[in-house]
Amino acid sequence: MKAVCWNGKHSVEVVNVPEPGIINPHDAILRVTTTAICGSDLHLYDGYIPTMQKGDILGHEFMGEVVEVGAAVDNLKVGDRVVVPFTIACGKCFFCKRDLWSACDNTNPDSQLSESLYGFSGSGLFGYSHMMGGYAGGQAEYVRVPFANVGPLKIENGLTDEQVLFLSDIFPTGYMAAENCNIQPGDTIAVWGCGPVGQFAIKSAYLLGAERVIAIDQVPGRLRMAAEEGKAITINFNDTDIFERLKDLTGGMGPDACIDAVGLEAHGTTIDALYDRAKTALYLATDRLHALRQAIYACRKGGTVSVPGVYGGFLDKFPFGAAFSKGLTLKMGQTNVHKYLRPLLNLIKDGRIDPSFVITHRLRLAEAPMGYQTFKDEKNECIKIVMRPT
Amino acid sequence: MNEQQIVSRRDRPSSSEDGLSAKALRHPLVTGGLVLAGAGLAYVAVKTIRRGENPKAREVHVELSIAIDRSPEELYYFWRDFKNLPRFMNNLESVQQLDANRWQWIAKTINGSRIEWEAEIFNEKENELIAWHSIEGAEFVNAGSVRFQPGPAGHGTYLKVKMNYNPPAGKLGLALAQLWGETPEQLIKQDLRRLKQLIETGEIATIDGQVSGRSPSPAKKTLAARALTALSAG
Repeated sequence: MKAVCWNGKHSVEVVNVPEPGIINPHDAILRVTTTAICGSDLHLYDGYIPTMQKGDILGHEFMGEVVEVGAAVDNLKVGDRVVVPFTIACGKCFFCKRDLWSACDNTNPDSQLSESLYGFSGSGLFGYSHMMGGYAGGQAEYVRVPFANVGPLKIENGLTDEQVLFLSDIFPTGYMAAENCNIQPGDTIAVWGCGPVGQFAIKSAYLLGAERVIAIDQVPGRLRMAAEEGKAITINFNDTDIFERLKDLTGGMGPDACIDAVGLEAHGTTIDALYDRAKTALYLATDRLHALRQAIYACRKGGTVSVPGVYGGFLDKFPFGAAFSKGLTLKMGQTNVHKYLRPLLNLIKDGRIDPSFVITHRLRLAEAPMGYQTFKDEKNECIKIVMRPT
Repeated sequence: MNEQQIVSRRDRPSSSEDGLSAKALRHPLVTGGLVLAGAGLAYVAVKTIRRGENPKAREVHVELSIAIDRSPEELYYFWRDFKNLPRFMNNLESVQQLDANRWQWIAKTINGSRIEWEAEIFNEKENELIAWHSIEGAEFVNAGSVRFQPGPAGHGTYLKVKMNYNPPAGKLGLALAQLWGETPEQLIKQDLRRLKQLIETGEIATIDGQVSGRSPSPAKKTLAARALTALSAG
């Protein structure tokens, strides 16, 4: 089968590899019908995530048709059409039982490195380095899905792939970011970053009852989508002073909650660079903390700063004093996708949101290398790329 | 006698990593973080006590805790049947029962050879404690114990595992050292994680056997053919 494989910095290849097989009793094999490239895939592409190996199959946003099930999978059968969460969860551990699916204890086969860096390891992920489990990803014709009785969501007829694919990651990620804001009637929510996650955060904030959403970015195409699709008030921070504009819009008080949908900028924040710098100075000289720092400064007293991610290492000049003095709540974490699958599917079925609005590019899997390049370079025109294996 | 207590000593990861993650692991900040992470945690705690300067006389002592969501009784009976141990302890090939309290243990070493020893359970308390040691004259002198304690409400059972062994001298010791290296606690920690996975989910998480761009040329048997085989096998 064809699969998109990581081949080093700025190098992905579509390679002919064997088809996957059942390894564990709760596995299933999917024939992938649609998949996507994620903003966080660019960190892999840029060579900033450690523990990648040449030949690793990429892709954590995918859906398809079940073609084989393991002996212990009793709720799926061959022919079922499913969307799969990008986090792999067992459903049985302390964390899964409490809806903290991305913290699953039992799905990272080699949790040592993650434990060393973070104290404890979270769940395994598809296609996102050996530190995160090393599982082969779904930018391929077929994919092995562990714990297929737990993760995959069955999709009935009447919904297209493009309408439901983003339940795998970016829609729940944006939604969880908005939910973490604890939105009350009358609230104004500010969202930094108008990439796909930001776009879903904007829509989710309105769905959750926000009165106004302000979207902040510098890429005109992305701000335009935030305004037209998201119905957000936009701020281009190249033209406008963010703080002044936010105060202006909120009677001098600041937004009630702020979402950082920018995350760790790839520049100068490789894990090794972080540790090297930490060695000498114990804090980092980085100018890439701006989104999170701004969110903390701008947020009203007693408000919430919500961080869907992704952050990997250490931050320098983090305005913790400001956060403390203003009594902020910080909420963060990898998305607990499983928690949101069914409620968000219902929103789609009820016509309250059509997630396909973010798609700007449709490619064949064979065009993946060009897709990665475009996604990296063409931020204005390119917001979300989906790919079909054939 | 001098006792050096090393909390959360850093070790090389067992899977193949690139240079920078290995470098990251040795970094003092990581170690510092680990000391904080390791202190007083009921989840997994590691202590390694090494005595003496002559490696041949060194006794290895490992203590680990892990929480598993089953009753102490179920876990006690699972562990008490030592035949189950190789299911999650990767270094063991088999453990066979000789009589009520005595067992024949066989462990793998790296070059395909094995070590065997006989061990007996010398102390146990139903649903609470199992303690065993190698019998007099065994080639590989070792002892271990596991305690099962109910955790706080909603937290399952806390297992506290202790293992001691004297690395044997000569070729055997060398083979063991090559296999187990400097990281017996990492190996045993990984064993306990596998036990937790096995008990809580019924399987052990793995990517062994998965496909990648490094796999040898595509297998001739397609999914469709495998499905037919599975069907006809019943």
